[in-house]
Amino acid sequence: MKLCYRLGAVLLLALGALFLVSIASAQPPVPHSLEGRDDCLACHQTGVVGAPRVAEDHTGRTNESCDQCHAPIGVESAGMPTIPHPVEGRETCLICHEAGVGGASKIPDDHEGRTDETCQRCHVEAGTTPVGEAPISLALPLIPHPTEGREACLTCHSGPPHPDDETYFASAHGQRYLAEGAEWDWSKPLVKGNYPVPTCAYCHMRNGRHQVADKAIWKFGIREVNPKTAENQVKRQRWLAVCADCHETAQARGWLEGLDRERKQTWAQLYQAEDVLRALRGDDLLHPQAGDRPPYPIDWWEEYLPLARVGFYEGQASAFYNVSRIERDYFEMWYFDSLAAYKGAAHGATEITDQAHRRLGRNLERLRREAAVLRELGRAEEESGHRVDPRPLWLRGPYTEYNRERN
Amino acid sequence: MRPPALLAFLVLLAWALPAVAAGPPDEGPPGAELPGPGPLADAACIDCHAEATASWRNGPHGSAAEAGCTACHGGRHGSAGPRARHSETCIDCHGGEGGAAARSYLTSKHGVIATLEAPGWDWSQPLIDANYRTPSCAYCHLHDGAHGQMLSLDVLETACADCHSPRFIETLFAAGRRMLGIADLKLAEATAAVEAAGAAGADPEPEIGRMLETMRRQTLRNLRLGIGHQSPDYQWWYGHAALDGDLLRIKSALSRNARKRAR
Repeated sequence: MKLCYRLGAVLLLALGALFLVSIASAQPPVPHSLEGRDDCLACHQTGVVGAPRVAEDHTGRTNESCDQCHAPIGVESAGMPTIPHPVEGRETCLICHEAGVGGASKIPDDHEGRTDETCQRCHVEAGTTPVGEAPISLALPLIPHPTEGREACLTCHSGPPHPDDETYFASAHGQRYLAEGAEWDWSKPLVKGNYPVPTCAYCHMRNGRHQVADKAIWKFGIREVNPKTAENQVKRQRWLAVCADCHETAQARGWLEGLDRERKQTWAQLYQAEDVLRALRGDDLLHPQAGDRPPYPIDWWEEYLPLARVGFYEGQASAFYNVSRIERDYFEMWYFDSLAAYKGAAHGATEITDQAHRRLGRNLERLRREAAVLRELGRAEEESGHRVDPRPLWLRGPYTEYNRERN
Repeated sequence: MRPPALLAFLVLLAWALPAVAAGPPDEGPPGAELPGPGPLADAACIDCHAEATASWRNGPHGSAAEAGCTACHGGRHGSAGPRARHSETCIDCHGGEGGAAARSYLTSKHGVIATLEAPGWDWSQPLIDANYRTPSCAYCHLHDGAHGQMLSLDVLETACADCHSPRFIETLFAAGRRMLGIADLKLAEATAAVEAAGAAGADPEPEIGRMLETMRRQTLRNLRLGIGHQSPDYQWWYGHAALDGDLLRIKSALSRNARKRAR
């Protein structure tokens, strides 16, 4: 054979070998514990909860053959946790991990007698490449709690008017979820007995119902309801049925009635604030009054019959821009303090509810003081016969004019 | 060249091209000796990573007290890449987990996906197109490994284009510009109102000055973070709705003072 042909053949063979080697060492390792997860295909065939789907060329393979190629993360055997923090400056592992200080995981009982020197023989720092081994690919968790595909609700259900994530995570349910959730078998359906505490979907998508608000009684918290109407009684029974998966029905009933009391108490305070505002409005003491500022774009007659809106039924929802400070303060009580208290009570985060109630109380006091100032200023203006015209300040300005044109 | 050799050469070229075209930047001269096991100090990095050092020096981290090489990359060469790619590395100094930077990211779609899936990703991979499903901090802010200017809009737009379509990017950037434009109007109105009151002879009240500063320094910053990180809450409740609140509270304070003076 000519030399160039031989060289070409050798080169082709070499490339082929390299190619095969690169394929062979590229099987993704298994980045999670295998305990309770014998059925690989349950997640990896369908791709649920973000599990990478099996490659197409794996068609026909069964669960038994997976671990012949896909090794779990960790040096020696399945499930050895990697070290989720930098090791630098933390060479004496046992200081934290013997007693579990600072939230560090406690070493298991079968590690008795082992010393600091031997820890790193098995436990690798996440993201490092141990000498002589294929790269291990596990990441530092972005936030320090389990994350396997159960937090899609957070995208929307967070933030000041509905701190659902914050209140859930602060509750006993959420705390347990944060501590243990990564170890649960998420291939199991969300029914009684499969999970020690409920998740969002467990309660709000009961038995897989996708009508997530089907048991909603309190209308998101934005207005007071009668929780004992016939319709709400039915919903209450359905809530009790959910809680009864794990709790005594009498206890669950007590919690539900606690939520009723929380709402009643909060609305009593909000109504007091509304009364203060209505009194000011009635006495023409709001400054600016409705006609002194641009009309709300809600109703066409607003321009001719301007009305300062107070409370949910008068369209309070719009009243947080270009109103007087006292009206905005009420809005924030209604939309932030009350709703935070509501969600705290609903999810069992009593501390958040208490904090929100205290804020509500302080804000109510501040509202009353502001009202007193407005009364005093109004009285002085009436006596002197001279009223400071708010309109130059409140009807003009780059943004006010832009908004009036655009809305 | 004879056919088989030519074929072999073409195959080799096709196989090698992707690595050449899209490799991680600044990996040090080929054949250079890796430093020892460490822990390494900043000075050990400069010889091989001159380019990164130079661009770092020209950027905001170059003049920050605690933002040298090992602050983000750690002291071990093997873990230097993954360490710096994790968002946690940045969050420690940039406001912490509860700070606006982290919260605006975590409440975005990118952040939620990262929360769900990031622990399973291969962080030894460079931060380039298709290696990660969503970006971590360094993906956008040190795009292509640039260690210098970290907030250039042009660079950020390029980073978005790694995954998103031109129309999508154009739409979001345009919306962001409009939001910032409207925010500027609100700030202008607040500033003008304060200045007008001052010109009318009012004593400048420190409280109002502070409110104006907060509006600029905090609320506007929240809005920017909301736009940059695409966080609905930071665009709205902590951003524009909060700017509305700041504006009306400043005006209310000015009104009250005017009324008190007129008594």
